Amino acid sequence: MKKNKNVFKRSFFYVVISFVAILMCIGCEKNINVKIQPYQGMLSIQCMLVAGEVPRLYLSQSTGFFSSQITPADLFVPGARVIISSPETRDSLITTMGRDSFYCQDTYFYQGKFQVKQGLTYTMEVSYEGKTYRSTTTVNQLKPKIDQVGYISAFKDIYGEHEGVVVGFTDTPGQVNAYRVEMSRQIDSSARKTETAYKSECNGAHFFTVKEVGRAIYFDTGSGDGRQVSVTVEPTYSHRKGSIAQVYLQAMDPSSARFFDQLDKQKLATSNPFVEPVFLTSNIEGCIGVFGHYIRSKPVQFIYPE
Amino acid sequence: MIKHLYFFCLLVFPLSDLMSQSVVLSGYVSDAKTGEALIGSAVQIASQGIGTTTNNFGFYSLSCRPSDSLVVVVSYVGYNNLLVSLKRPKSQRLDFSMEENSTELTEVTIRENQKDNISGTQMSAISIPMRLVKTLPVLFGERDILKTVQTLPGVQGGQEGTTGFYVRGGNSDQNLVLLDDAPVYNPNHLFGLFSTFNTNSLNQVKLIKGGFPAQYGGRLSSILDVTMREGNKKKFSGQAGIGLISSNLTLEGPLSKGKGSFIVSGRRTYLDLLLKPFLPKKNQTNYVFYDLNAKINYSFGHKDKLFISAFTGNDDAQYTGVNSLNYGITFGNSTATVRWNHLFNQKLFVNTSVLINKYQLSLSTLQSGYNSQIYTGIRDYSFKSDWEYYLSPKHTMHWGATLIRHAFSPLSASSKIPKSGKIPAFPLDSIHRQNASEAALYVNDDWNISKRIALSVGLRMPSFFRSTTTYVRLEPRVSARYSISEHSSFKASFTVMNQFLHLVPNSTASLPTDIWIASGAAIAPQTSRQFAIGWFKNSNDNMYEFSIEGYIKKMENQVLFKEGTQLSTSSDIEQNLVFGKGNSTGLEFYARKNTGRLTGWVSYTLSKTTQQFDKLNKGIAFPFSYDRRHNLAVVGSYELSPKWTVAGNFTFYTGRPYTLPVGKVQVDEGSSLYNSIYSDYTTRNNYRMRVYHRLDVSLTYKKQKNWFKRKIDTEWVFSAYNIYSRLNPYFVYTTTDDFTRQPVAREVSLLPIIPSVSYQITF
Repeated sequence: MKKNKNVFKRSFFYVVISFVAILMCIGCEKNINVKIQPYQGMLSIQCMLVAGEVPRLYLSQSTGFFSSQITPADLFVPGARVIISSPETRDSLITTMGRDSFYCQDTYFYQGKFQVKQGLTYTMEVSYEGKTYRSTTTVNQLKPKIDQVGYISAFKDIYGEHEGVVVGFTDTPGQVNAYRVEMSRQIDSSARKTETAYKSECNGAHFFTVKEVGRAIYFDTGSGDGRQVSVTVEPTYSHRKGSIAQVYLQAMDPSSARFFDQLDKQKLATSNPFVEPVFLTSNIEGCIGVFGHYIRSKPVQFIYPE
Repeated sequence: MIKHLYFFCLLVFPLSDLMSQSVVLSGYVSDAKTGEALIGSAVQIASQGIGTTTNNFGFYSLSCRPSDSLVVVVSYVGYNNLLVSLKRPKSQRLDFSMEENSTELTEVTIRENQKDNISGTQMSAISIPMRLVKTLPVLFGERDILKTVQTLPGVQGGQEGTTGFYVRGGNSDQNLVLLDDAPVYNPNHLFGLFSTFNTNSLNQVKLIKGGFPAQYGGRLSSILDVTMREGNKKKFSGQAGIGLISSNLTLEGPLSKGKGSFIVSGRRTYLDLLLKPFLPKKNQTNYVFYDLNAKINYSFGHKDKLFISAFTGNDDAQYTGVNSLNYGITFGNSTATVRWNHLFNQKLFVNTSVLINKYQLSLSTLQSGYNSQIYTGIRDYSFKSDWEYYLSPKHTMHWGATLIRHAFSPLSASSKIPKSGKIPAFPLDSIHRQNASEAALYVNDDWNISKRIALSVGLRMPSFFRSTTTYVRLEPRVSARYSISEHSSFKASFTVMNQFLHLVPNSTASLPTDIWIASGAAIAPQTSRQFAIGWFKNSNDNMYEFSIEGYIKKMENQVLFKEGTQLSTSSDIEQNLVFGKGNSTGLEFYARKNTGRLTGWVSYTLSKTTQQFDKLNKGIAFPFSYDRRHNLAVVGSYELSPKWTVAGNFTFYTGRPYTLPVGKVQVDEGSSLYNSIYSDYTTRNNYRMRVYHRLDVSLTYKKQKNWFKRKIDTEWVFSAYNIYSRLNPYFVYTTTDDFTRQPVAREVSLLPIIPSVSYQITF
């Protein structure tokens, strides 16, 4: 009888141990419905003037975070009065439609007809529902020059370990600049986004042009004026050996660069639970957005070695 | 030195106090069975309306008027009152040994005595009854003093998965946890499920939330003063216990025929061995912790006592859990203390301590595809000397000095996980070490102005030196008590505190990713000003205690990271910090039943805590990460029979705030790498998690057995943590589906019901 009692005690002990050990391995993760907080949508205005190109302005309405409105068609704001003026021109931008071949959707923006000129000061005026949003920029960034373009198969930075296109250039002396790398190439539907593995679903084997813009902004704060700089950019889309890209360097006004820099930091913060959230600020009063300019370098052709 | 102090006293105090002919009784109060010091015992002479309480070493000194006879009453919760009659008393040493009242749970033991919570000037302080702690529900068989601390008014735990406790709107770093005078930087084992304190080795635990006496400093929000037991001075004895995940052993006994004693207590988990068979081969989940306490004390004659105590504890864990969370962590505290008590005379008691403590935390976390590496190391060498002078029945003086040499080694880095999956290691030698020194002088006078009015006035002068930066501050401390009757009083206090060490928290992280740094040229000390008032009432011969306290606390130089800060190994942490203010107001209700078959307490706190940083949240005030409006705890233990005891505690918190974007913005210009949808955050900490609540219960069965011709007390404890298995929120994060581009919020919960059983023997 005593022996049976001990066996019972031992069995009970092991059963409880097993149960607890299994519980320790359980974690519960689930989607939750968050009580939607009232949100008053704001206008989002983005217009980056590029010397030698006609102005293009994106105008959309911000919406609730969990709103199902997600496509450009959902968020685009038509019917606004958009003027870009300089001492020489007054350009009234009109609604235009483009195509995002990768996401297989139409895009909407306002486009002008006069090319932006170096050295002029431009004023943007967006009037919508009785409100007018204004900002100015002087197109004074000097054209940068790429010294060399290389490739590295594995590179480590705050974004982790990734391949990279290495762009070398010399900072323009005598001016505060911010730089960003831009690449342009042809891909087909077999290409995927390197971040998410998302593939385009509507183009089959047909090639289409994509623009890849480096996410980080490289600031010249003055202390390194005129120095040689080397930046490494992760391609947005996958590539094959022999894929050809045109590589540009953008020299951007610092005010606009701060906006794009915070976009980048926000994305990192949103997906990285160890980073404080980033609140967006704007250089256009009363809305979210940016008005500024950049100038592109001459392109340098780059062929992916692997 | 002594002459100088006397001269100082002459200046400060009325001559009548010093010159009056008085009889001085002094000595120690201890447990008759073990010789263990009884901290906080009341020693009173009712006929003269005077009394005092024993200090942390069990020492008291009481000056009284000469008379033909005196009756000294000594009382302590759970012990029989001791009445000693003295005829024509002279100044003498009187040591008291008190008998434990075995029927304490069924009879009222304290009669006609004022309790310190009514008669003392100290407010916002609660001593935790260790007897009750031993009957409370245990998690995995481990009794935990910090779990009990979290149920006190004004105190709350973090969410499951974070360590530390939060007092009156302060961060977890604002609590000074002292183990035999040595600071313990992280008093928790992993998850906050267990504290580093093994209850078998503890004598007393006292929490002070406000009205800080001048002898305490260095933190803004609370002092948790933990005193280790000295060990049985009468006979060799021990305790051994086995739980589901750990075992513990405590051995204690006399040294040199009662001149001293020792105690050694240790715990170790074996969860690593238990989990192994249940985990897939690739799952590295593993968890080991241990802690070891040791203490020796020895009396050199009647005037000198030496205490040597040491503690070391360490955690080592690997966790491969739900998709979003994997980590490896190693952290631990070690302390060593040498304390020397010296009695210059019956009125002057001095404790001098030399302390060494070390804390290090190394954390590598993988969460949502990102890696975070953190190392924080602290090594302190300290010297302190505390003087207690029982000048007269009206005045008790405390003064002293502290000197600490700190060395900090902080590092924090976060990055995306490389494709190779191999996380780069960082060499500890490369971490820049920060050295700093901290010193403080203090003086405090407890002054009984009249039978109804008492005042505690103190001044502390802390200073901090790091490189070329020096901070010198003055901290006035004032507490006052007005006795409404023998059983109720009204108290108020005002204290200023400074803190030169900062734990930089990350509001969005769900793990202990905190880094300790020192004040310096770029980081000013944290400061708080706290005003508190309270009403205290005991009834039914101190069977019941009630209190209502209100406080207002203003804090400055609170530290957080800048928005979007992503540290790399080369980052200078100090350049990525922002500084702001904190405001906390609250009302605390506390009702406690001390004796009888049912013991326990109910505590409720209504509070609001906000922070304001010029460079965060557009400069607008936002809720503190641990701002919880309502905080309720019900703790109770009921003796069903001499053998069976049932106990439980219920905890309810308002959900903690977290930040979610309210809007989303399309940015088409130049965004190809991401999905062109960005977040519009309107305010920080704008959402709240679901409320947190859980009920823990336990059933204890005690039986005495005869083993090897010796009486052994045995105890089975069956308990369940979170008995109704509520999935309380652990953290919430958002993610965007790249295909639908639709954001979703995901909530992670951690601990469901966890039953446990433990077995303990005392021999």
